[in-house]
Amino acid sequence: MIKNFFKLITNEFKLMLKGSVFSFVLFCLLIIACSIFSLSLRNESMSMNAPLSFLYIMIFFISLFKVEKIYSLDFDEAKLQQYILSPFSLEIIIFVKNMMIYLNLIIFFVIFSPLILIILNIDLSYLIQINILLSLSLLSIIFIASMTASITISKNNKLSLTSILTLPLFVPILIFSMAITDVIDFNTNKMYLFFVAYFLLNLAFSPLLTSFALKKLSV
Amino acid sequence: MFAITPNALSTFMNSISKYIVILSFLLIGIAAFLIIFIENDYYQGISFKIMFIHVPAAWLSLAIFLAMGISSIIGLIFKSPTAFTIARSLSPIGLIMSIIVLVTGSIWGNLTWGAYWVWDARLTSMLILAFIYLGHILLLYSFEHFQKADFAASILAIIGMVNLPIVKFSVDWWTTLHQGSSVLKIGGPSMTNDYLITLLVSFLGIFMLTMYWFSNIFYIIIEKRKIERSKLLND
Amino acid sequence: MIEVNNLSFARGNILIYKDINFKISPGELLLVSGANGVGKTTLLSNIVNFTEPLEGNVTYHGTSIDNHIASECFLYIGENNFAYDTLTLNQNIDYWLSVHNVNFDKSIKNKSVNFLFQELNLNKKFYQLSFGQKKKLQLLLLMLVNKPVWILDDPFSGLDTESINKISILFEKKLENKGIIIIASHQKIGLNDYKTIQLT
Repeated sequence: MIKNFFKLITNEFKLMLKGSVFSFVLFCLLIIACSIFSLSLRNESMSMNAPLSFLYIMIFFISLFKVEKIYSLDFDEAKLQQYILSPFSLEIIIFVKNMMIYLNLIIFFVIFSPLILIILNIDLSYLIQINILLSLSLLSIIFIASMTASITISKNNKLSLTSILTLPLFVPILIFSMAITDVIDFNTNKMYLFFVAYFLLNLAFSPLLTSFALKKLSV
Repeated sequence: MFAITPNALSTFMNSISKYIVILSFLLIGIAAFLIIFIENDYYQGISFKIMFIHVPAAWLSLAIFLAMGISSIIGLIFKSPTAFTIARSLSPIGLIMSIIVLVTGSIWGNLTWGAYWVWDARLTSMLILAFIYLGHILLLYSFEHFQKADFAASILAIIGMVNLPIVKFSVDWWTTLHQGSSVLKIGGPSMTNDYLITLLVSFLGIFMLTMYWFSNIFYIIIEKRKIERSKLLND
Repeated sequence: MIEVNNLSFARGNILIYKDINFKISPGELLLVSGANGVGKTTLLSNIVNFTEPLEGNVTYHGTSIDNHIASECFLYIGENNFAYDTLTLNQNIDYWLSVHNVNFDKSIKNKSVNFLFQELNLNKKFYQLSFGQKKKLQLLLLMLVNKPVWILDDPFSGLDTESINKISILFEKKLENKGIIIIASHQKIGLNDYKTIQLT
């Protein structure tokens, strides 16, 4: 069982590598959009909030599209039937898949983050803090998106409905991140606690709800 | 308690609904009387009286979402159709309440702050709550069959409950333009007694009106389902 | 032994079938037949507990089937293909065997692949295969995953006569080992002795 579990993880990793071209293109688009955005603001001394919230919104959309695409491809009826009948519970498979989507996105983000920060005119001394903040919130974003993607999986006009459902749920993350960056000193900010709590809550409950929704709504 | 069938609850609600509506009109009448004759606020003048609609509607929009979330959890755990139907009939009321909050709030904001809308944490999170209500309703009516729709919408209601503490505590966690809580807070309410009584009476009146509305929606949903079921059996 | 009692199912507000009763004991094969749209696939997914019936119940050795029993005892091969288009044939086999928690020898795997596919390059991408070859990949799981009950939805579509004969050999062996097979199909099966249920 354990051996096969690790085999499953490596196989999912291989699958993720196949899809990483997609996220590479998305991140290139993110950088292009960033540069256009920074052109319009190049003469003003920006506070950190504006570029960071811009970055967040781009990441919202990238992860929304990515999760939506993966869920509609990897959990179509035939595949889902096999997943349900496998000895691994669906929650575990969903967890592994979500983590792989996360890895796929976060690797590109970490690689490109110095470039993005330079384009957006943010001080490079905040590189590590911003990376931590975004990597924590990206995980929550992906788990939330997976829940809403699984709710709407059997519908035809998926993407519009999923966006309507998901984007309101993302905004609390945005509010909290902006609250953290308001106080420039990241390390002594108690708002980080919220992120950790939110993150743990997501890790615990969203695979349960996602698998429940997939079982009830799509087969 | 979870074994109550939707039909039994529907007939019970229908039988008491006329008493509820009488009570609610009585309470709203008293509240209106009190609001007219109460003293104006020293700083805000007459515009302050919008609070007696704004605050009860805000409480109710939060409380309704909480009730929806709890009944969704109960529905998912105990597979109880009653709980699902309660959640289903609560969401339009919650949407209307949150719209009332936003509209009265922006009128009040224009009179006191000089702007209809500012992007601070309380206002934004309230707007998000309204959007979650909207998404819940869209989800409920985008499925062909009500059981699937109930499952999907209940999951959304559970996820959306994360937003509730953010709305409630946003004024304590951040320095916002919106004033802090003055009734439900540690150390007792910071309001004079006549304002507090007026507020409570007006809250009770609006609450009873919501209950009446809720019982009507519940009754209509159940009757519709009966008709559909009899059609299905006749075919 | 699988027992189906008074099973009825409605999708949305439309009743698909009602009052279906049958029993299958180990070593028997059941063919579910009927015209298009009478609910053959739905009946199978009801038995595997993918969907919940409106009324009635399905039991396996006396206990009603839940997800746990289904995942331990049932192998379901549906109409649509579950393989990943972007992976090669070999990677697909590895992936689905790890999902089904099967430890296998390379030699056994190669043997069964040879039995079904004969000469075939396993490093071909999945989307380069023909329809029949794709179907055979699904049926390969029958040989590699060891579960007592097989539930197959239209297994013969797109297969040539030679492959159908091979699959029939597999069925015979399974029935000798006291397995249960439920098939939904329009075609007749090349076996001597099986039960049939006609959906209307």
